[in-house]
Amino acid sequence: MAITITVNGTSQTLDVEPEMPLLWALRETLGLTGTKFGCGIAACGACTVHLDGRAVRSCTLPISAADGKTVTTIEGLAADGTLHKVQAAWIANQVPQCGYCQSGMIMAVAGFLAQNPKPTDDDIDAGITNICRCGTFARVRTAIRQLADGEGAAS
Amino acid sequence: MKKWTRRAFIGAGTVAGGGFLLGVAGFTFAPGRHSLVSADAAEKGQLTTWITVTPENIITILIPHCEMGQGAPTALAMMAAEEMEADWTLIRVQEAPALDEYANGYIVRAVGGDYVPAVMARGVDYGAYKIAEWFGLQVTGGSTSVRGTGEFGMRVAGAAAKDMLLAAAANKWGVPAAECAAAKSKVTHAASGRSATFGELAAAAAVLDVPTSPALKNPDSFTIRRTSVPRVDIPSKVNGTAKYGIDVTLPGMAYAAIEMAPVFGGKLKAVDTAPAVSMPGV
Repeated sequence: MAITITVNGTSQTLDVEPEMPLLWALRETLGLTGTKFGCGIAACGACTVHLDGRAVRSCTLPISAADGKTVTTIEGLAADGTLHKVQAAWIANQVPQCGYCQSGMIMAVAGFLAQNPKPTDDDIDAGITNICRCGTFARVRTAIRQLADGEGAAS
Repeated sequence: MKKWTRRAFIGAGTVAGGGFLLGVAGFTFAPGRHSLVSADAAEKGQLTTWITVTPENIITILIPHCEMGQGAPTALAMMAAEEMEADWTLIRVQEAPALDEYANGYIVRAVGGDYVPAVMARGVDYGAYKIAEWFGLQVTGGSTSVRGTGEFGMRVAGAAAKDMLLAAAANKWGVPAAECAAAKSKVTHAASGRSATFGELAAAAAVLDVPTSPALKNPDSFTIRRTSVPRVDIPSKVNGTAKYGIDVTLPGMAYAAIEMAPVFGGKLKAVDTAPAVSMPGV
């Protein structure tokens, strides 16, 4: 089945099974390995990408559900070589440890702040449910608060 | 078997492009204040290479450990750069290749703990080294990167590199090396007001004999260590370029999945591969 999606600004036509998870199409078919496979059941969020601007967990989303839509991955989050404000805040706060979950974490936070630019701590708890086994949650929260307050590094 | 020594073996050579390679073998096997290497380390190809200085004054430090979130590459590069009197902003870090030459055995020795009586230490050192050699261990774990590779590898490599750069400058200017000083990736001779970058001196330094037991800095004079610097691995972890095991693709690579027996002690009776073989891509 031919699926057409726009990934990081480039239109792609893929001949894949319609039930193939979007994550598979990104990693295996398009070679965009920045997005990670974590749990495979949409529980951990390591696979988070943006579908038409909203954060989705791509490991359980069939590629057919993305047909005709726009996908942004961690590789496409920076615009014209300028880091997205979430990426800059992640460096400023030295958030990642092993980093495996952080592509998904950053995409989740970028999508979350786009919907909710001034989140409360309760909003953060409810909106960011990605799992980090290194336990970077404290720095994740600090970085989100800075971004919400407009203090994020704006490099 | 040739004689084993407690003297560190260090070698140097030039590389294409006029760079400067400094290798230190054996330090990562050292359990304590000494280094333990085979006297025929060079013949056996055990020479490992940690530090490169390009003519552009960029220092690349090879790290024989994995970055797993613990920050070892940053810490180890700081330890080398400190002794080398390098400009931290000009330091680059690379993972060492997964080759025997970069094996490290400190973890083997660490398993024995720091409780080995002095009279037995040499035997234990030897045993640890042999185990590492036999198995080609390139291990990251046990908090051994900094206290093993860092203390006995990176510090000494950095100090040796600095001494060689000082000697190269002294030769060039016809002054005693003791009158030259290194700081921020530059050697200066205060009396004559001359100076040269590490990069300008690297090619000449690379052909000099390598000091085997260079003096290490007093911690009181540390300027890079004891500071908090941004980790070198983080930029690649915020833009998706950091490579993990799952991201590696090799030619002809096959994928495997395990089907576990549904009951304890279950035995395989038969396999029908037809459904798997009929799947796309198989």
